[in-house]
Amino acid sequence: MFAVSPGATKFEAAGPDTSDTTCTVVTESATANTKGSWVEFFSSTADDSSWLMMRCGRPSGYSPAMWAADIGIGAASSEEVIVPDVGFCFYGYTEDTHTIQLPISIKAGSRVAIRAQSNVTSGAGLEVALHLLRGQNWFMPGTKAETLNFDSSSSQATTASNPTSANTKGGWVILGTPSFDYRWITLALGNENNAYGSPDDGFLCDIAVGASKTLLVENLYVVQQSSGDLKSPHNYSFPLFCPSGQPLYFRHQTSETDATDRVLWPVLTGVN
Amino acid sequence: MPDREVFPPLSSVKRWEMLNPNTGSSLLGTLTASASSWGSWTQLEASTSDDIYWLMPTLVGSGLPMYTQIAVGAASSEEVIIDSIPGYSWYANEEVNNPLLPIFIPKGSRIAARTRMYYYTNTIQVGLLAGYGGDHPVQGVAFPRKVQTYGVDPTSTSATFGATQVQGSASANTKGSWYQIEGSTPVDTHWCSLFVAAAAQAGTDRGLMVDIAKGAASSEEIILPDHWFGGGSKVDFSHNNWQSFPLYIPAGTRLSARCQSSVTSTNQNDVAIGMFCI
Repeated sequence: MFAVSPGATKFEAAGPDTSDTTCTVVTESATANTKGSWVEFFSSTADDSSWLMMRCGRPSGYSPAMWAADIGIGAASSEEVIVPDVGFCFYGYTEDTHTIQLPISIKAGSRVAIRAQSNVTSGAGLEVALHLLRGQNWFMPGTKAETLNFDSSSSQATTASNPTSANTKGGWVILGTPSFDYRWITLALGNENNAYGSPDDGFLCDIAVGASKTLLVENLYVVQQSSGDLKSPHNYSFPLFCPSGQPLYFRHQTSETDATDRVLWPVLTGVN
Repeated sequence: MPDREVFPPLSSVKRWEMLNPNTGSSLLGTLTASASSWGSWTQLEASTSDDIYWLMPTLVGSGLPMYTQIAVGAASSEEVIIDSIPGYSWYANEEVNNPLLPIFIPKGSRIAARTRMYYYTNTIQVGLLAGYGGDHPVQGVAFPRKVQTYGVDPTSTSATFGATQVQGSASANTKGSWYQIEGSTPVDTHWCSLFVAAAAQAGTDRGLMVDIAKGAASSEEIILPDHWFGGGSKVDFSHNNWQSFPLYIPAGTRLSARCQSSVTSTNQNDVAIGMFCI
């Protein structure tokens, strides 16, 4: 349970290109809502790693878009997805740089690749930087991940959370049922591609488990931008135990009075 | 006395709860900053309902950068456990600052916060997302109870608003000089929340990359290479001022940072950096 090592001491990175301060581009398929080709990030990782930090951003096209990325290991054309369908929501501003943090194990010598899909097909792709924390750590990293409430046919959440009035929690929507115990989650939140929302709108989000809707997360706070109708940040990574076989639910409230702008699209990735 | 300090297992968190929400407005409760001095302590929680093993302070500023201290203890006897968390939000109430920290606060604790600004007076939304745990074998062990803050000086009047200013090179796409964040870390670090924000007053589309290193001057060893941001027309890096991860840094380490930018315009090739370690 407790530390067997004081912790890993350095990251290795793939994706950043210091010659022009950009990152490797992962291009979506020319067909909307279809995964593009795998893009290699590490041909062979230097060490065992216990932690993954993936930053992505600056999708061209400058329109609101939902993206989802797979992280895979293995030889070219034989990639095995170890983290499926991590969600990202972009408005298109260049300062949009979103991050997931995952305590997941990748063995030394692994080839690591990423592919992505989107509901838009600008063809310009996402810039992606992938950092792996080298060595053992004070926790046992996970070995598997799965994503709930992702709809590959739309690249966004299968079911939206949609409160019917301001400042009142909406009804619970089911995210799905974990097929294994989770120790860590990444919650991706997107919203409708609506016109500019009102500034200062807050969102308080709940996650619950089981038929009795026992609260696991109460009032996680998200805000809405006046200059981009999305939330800041869009991805939240943190430890949380979610038991296998018990459904997870999501609901939220917001001060937003516009019915369309009130909607959130939650996609949850669990790790163990 | 506990004979060693450890971190709880990742599976320890059974429930998260935001302390100090305002459910009537779907926002967080507010604190009023004092100009150039710390404001009064505001109680966020009178008595915590369970042991807290992880904490995600959640700060949303109103315009200019603000700094917040989190403390435990009775009124007038507050003990600071997290010092000077920057709450950057160039556009009022838009950007969430939310470092994730594995800090232990025992059940029954009173938690309070206070905040300050450079020279303005304004309000900041402050909430604490508290991760409750349980089922821990606690005999002979202790959990970390205080965060070390490096590179942040809330009394500073510099353009970087108190975090260490790291200037990029005069040449585009070239790393600049190393800037010291901390001369010698007083304790071992097992977890780091890294704060990186644009120091510029105006922005153009650009990429920025930051290296974090350990070691003596001129012998820096990079421990986080090419941490990348997309800078834009806004002053700040929307959405992602904070990154939290389990990096080990032994006590006695000198920490430094350098950066590069795809542009060389004044105030377009530098960043402000702080590190919150535990």
